[in-house]
Amino acid sequence: MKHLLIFILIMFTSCKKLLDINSSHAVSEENFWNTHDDTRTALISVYGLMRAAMADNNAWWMYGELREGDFTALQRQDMKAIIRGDLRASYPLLQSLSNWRRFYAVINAANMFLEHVGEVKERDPKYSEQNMRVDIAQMRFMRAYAYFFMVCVWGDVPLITSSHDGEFEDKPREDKQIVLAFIEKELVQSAADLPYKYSVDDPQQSGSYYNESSSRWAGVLARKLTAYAILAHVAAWQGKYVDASVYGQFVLDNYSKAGSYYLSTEDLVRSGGFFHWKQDNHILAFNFDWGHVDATFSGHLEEMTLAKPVINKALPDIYVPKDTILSVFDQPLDERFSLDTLTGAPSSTRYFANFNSQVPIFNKVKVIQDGNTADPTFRIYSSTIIITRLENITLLQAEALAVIGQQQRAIDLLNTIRDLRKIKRFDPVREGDLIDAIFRERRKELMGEGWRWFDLIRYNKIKQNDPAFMQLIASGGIYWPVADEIITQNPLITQNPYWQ
Amino acid sequence: MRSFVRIVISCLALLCLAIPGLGKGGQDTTLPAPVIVVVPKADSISLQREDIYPYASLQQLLKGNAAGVNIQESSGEPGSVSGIFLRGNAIPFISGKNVSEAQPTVILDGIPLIMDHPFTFDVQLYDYNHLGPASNLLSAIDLNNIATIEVVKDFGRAAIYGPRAANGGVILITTKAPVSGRRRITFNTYFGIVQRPHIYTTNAKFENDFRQQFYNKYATVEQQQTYPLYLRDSTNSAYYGPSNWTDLYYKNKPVYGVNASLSSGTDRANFMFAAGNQRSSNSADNTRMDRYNAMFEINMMPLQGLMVSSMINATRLERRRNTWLRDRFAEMQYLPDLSNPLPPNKLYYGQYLNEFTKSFDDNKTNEVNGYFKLNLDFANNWRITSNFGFDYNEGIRDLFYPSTLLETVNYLSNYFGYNQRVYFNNTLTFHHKWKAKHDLTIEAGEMFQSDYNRYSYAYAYKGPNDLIRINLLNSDNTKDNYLSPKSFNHGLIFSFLDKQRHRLLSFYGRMAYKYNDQLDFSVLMRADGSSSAQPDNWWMYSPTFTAGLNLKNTWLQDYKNINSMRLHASWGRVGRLMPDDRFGEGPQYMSDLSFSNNPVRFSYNGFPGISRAYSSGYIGYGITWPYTDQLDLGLDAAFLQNKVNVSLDVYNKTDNNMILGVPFSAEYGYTTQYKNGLKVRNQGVDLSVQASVLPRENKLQWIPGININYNRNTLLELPGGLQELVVANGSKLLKVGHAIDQYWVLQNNGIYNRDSDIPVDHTTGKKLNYKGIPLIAGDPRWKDLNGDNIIDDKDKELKGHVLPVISGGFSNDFYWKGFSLELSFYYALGRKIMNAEMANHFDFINREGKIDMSAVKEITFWSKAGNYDKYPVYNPWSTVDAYRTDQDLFLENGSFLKLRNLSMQYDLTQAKWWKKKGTVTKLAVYITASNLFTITPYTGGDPELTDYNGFDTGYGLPMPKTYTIGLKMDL
Repeated sequence: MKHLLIFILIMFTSCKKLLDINSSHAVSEENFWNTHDDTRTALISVYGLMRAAMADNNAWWMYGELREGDFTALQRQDMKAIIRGDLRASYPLLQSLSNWRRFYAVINAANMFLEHVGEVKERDPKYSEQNMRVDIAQMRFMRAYAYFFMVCVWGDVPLITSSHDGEFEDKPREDKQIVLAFIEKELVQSAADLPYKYSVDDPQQSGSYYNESSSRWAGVLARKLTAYAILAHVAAWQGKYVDASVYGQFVLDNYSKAGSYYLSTEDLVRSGGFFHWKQDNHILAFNFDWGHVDATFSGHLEEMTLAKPVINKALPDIYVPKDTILSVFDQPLDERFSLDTLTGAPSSTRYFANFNSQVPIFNKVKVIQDGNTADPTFRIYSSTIIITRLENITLLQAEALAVIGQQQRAIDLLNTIRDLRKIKRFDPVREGDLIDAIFRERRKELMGEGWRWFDLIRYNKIKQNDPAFMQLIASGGIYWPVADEIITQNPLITQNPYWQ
Repeated sequence: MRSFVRIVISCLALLCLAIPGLGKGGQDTTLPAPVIVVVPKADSISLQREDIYPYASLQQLLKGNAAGVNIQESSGEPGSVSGIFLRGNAIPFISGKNVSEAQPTVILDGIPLIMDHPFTFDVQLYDYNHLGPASNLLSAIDLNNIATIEVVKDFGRAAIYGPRAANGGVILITTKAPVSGRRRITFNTYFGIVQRPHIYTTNAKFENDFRQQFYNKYATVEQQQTYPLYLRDSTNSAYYGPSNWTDLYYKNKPVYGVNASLSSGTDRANFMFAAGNQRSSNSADNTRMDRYNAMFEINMMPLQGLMVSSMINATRLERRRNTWLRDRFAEMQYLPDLSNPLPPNKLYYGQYLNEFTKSFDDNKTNEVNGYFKLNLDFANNWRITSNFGFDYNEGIRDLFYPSTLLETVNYLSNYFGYNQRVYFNNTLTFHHKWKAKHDLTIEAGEMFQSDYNRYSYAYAYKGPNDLIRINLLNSDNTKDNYLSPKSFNHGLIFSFLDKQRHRLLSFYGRMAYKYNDQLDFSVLMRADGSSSAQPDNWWMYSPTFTAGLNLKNTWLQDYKNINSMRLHASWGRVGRLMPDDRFGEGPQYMSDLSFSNNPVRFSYNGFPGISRAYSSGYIGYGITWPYTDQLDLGLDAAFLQNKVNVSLDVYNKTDNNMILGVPFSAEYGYTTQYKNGLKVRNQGVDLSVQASVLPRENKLQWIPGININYNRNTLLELPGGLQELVVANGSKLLKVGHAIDQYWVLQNNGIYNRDSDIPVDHTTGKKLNYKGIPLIAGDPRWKDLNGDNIIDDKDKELKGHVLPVISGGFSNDFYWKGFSLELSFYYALGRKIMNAEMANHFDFINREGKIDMSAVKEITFWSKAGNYDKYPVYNPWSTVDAYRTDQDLFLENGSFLKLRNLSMQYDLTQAKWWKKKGTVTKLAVYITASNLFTITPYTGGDPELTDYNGFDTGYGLPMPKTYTIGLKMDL
């Protein structure tokens, strides 16, 4: 009998061996958060998830560029609906865009990181205190930025600051003021801990970051300037222009420390220029680096704007109609686009190709394949999603200063950009209102970069002279509806009243 | 030897476990029990009748031949995947993956065949096809080598296979046994053609006329201006010329098959060798499949009581696949500009087809399986059976599309994947009979099964030219460029590798007792351990009980017209395996950086990124085994000197505790959370009746037979006590109390011709709206079921069924002298079809000017099926999406009756002039015709050709009419 028991014992231990197999495509909780490799993969995933959120259905442009913007959709019914603000129209694209899940994945991943990073610190002596501090600051930045973007798109959103892993509970939407206060607090704190650059012995990040050189990290991660730039945007969005000017000034005073510089028009539009891969000059951006086999078919402005002759596609999905081009680019000698005052023919066509056809091609961003080719045959792109850049912050600062009454400093900043684009300096007599001029300049400079709709909202909040738009703001119509499935899943979520 | 001891011990351990149970019963005793009356089993298909038809797969053979077996063959393309559903289906089809999870296990001579794992879909943007050759692995079975096929649905017998029986049972295939004491040579060969169908073709004039009615009625000036280019120019002969693409697309094609076998031996040793080749073709798109098969089987009895048998079977499948644009773009995961469709004129279409001569698309599947079995009988009552076996299949696809096929971008891909299963079963049986009345069997068994699925896949775009068709790597490992690609750009090469392991270890004990051929009982207790279950829940314990009562032997001995009658009942439970090894891990991390249109992002900035599985769903701790319970009551009877055989089964099958991804709080980033608690019931009746109508002595014999399955599917519970759940991107509703395979649609009730027709809510003064969009003239008149003046998902109703409620087949066989004439019909009733092809045609506005799959127009776009006039002319520009598929406008009755097979056979050895003493024991010539006609109210194409959602997308190749002539000979 004793032998029998032993045999049975052996049998069961061998059963355990037979059945204990780790999955080859998922990592279990025990096998994660052990080394600094795990923090790196987790950190990278937060950026990657954000890139996915912004690239999914070209969301960055769908939310920011299309609605009542300069672009017209040619045949796509769904994009037409977005452009005219008919956001409940029954198209899969709009339903997908109404869903905020992907942004909450970023937030959850950041929350998971913040909750588990201490375990890695305990288990891996190679994971330094400083490395951890910088990582935490980045995660807090990413979480705050995700919230900021959601507040811009949906207004009130649930504020969730821990992962609730395994014990998920439904949360109602939180007042946007509270969320914005949280965002600002988090950004200020992360700004303090973030370095100007990585792997260049910045006092806040010495040595090579995760054993990679500075070129590997160029413009990839959140840095001190990134935090201040987004702080400026957050403050401006709330109309707190005094704060915005303080944050903006930090960026304008320190940009050279972070490797940023003002772009020439040629560098802005050349296919191997600013939108190409990753650069220190990208203050906040999500790249699709060709060298790492990250180029994609989708998630790029080019997917919608390019067509023949730039790329093999009969017609673009969206384009800027001729009339709009002519009314927006009304300054002679503008390097972005201008007409020759004598002949009436385009003298500079950097932004637009095929201007003389019925459907001009918006040609500002065109990183086709690796960006070093003009080969139109294959529609894969490696352009970077640029969230904000120095010129954007400069104009934002001009806007802030103009609003708080520092006219001359505002004009100087506006002229900084105008000088870059080789157009005449601001003349209050001829051009009238400074705020109008600044927003006109933003419209030209940032065309196709996902800011038009948000600019329109800020502009109207400042000017308050368009009753229809003010009504839209007052009734919450500036926000997107919340997807039906979100409301079904979480009964505490209510639809934006405007879309009920 | 150690393992042997261990096994014996384990058997003993299980015996102890099993003893508290009761008695014995059995219809499935392994030792032969004396049979008094020979009643053909209802769900057993004899290949004697079927081996003359040019079936390309096991599924085709099963169609209509066994009650409760429903075959979903969604394309007539030879060797393409089709589904088998036994007694309904318990798994809601949310994605294509679910179909493979619902498939029953096919067991070939004791070898549970391993199928493709659906995990390649994880890296695919579109789930139309499995990666690689995507061949139907059940096409690999050469039916000439098969003696019988038996569909075992009753858990009284099927539960012995444990979790392999979870999908309604198992399908047992028995190969022909070698002969002993003589020599047998058999030949079977046929030759035939598939006939090209007649298609009503259209050209741009037709399409233009069709669209003009919408433009005339609704289009604004701006909308007029975006009229598609290819329809604008009526002098363009490519589009406006004769529509004769069918000449190139459909062709009469040959089919053939040849099989030969040799068998010989004595009682102590015998063998069989068989080899065969078959070509299956489709008249459409030049598709075909070639199968090469060889099998060798031996039995030896080196000692009295010891039987050693072994079989090895090897098959190769080669397929020529379709040239659908959709499938090509899906493989490339890239779409070209779609503004100009393929032209319907054969001059132009031929130019396009000609480019395929520069391409290759090699699809090969190799399969080898075999077993080694020992049977040892000793001490009169004991038997040890030991069975070791394996099944291995590999799929290889090498593909090259030249640059001339797609905007000067060429494409290359290579796939190699294999599925491998090894198993080792041991049983110890004790059989004792005493006083000629009591019959007791006790059995203990162990089964171990280890699966490994793996694939590697790489593709590359834009090679330097069309002559370099392989992705060569630099092979000098001393250089820096070692393993970097020679000619393809490394930024455009994508490669993937994935593997999955699964092990299943089972023990069981079984006792069966039979009293005097009158009464029997049995009990089976089993324990199954699965490596994809969570470690604290590896084991699933489940019992099965059976009881049988032989009415004939007990009470009806005096009734001469009742030749046999047996009542049986069983209740059993088997576990259901989890479909993915991820479930065993609990909360987990994986790569999730992908987004729409880009399913394969694993890294950011060149570093892998790993996070919680947000897109694929949260898996927590505490996931437990799903299981299936089935109660089966049955009656088998034979009447009138065995001239009428009836088999009736009533079943109640409940799938409990199944795992479902429940959409949940997106505020934590997840799409779904996997939870136990889905409960689905399938209730129904299987009935088979066969009769010999004419008197035995009559020279003419007529044997009609029918089988019928009625199945009712009900969702009993959803996880977490939910009453309803919207799944599959909002296209399906699972609602407790309703079937899981229903369409969820708005009720269409005409059209609003004038704005003034649109109802206005009297209290609010608001017009009726669709989810906030006010309806306007030209919009559909949808029923506002809940009367809240808003048309939304609450106004959708569950209607119809994807799977038939009633299905089966019937046959009429006539025999006269040496002649036999057979007719086989196949039918399905109570199912509906969503005519998505029609909906696509009407929804042309949303399908122009896009670069996505919905905008792809195949060459079959230039054909017409169905009646366009019966649909209202809605405003196709309306933002309510007037021609959507979630309305009952396109939902049609999909019932059908088909004449599947018709054959005539003449056995020459029956002729008077035949020399009976010759070596030829059988010589038959036969002619067959398949797929001759279909009777259906469905207005689209063939009602069988729908996808798993019941959508007729027009992508199924037709089931061709096939005619063959053949010869069978036995020596």
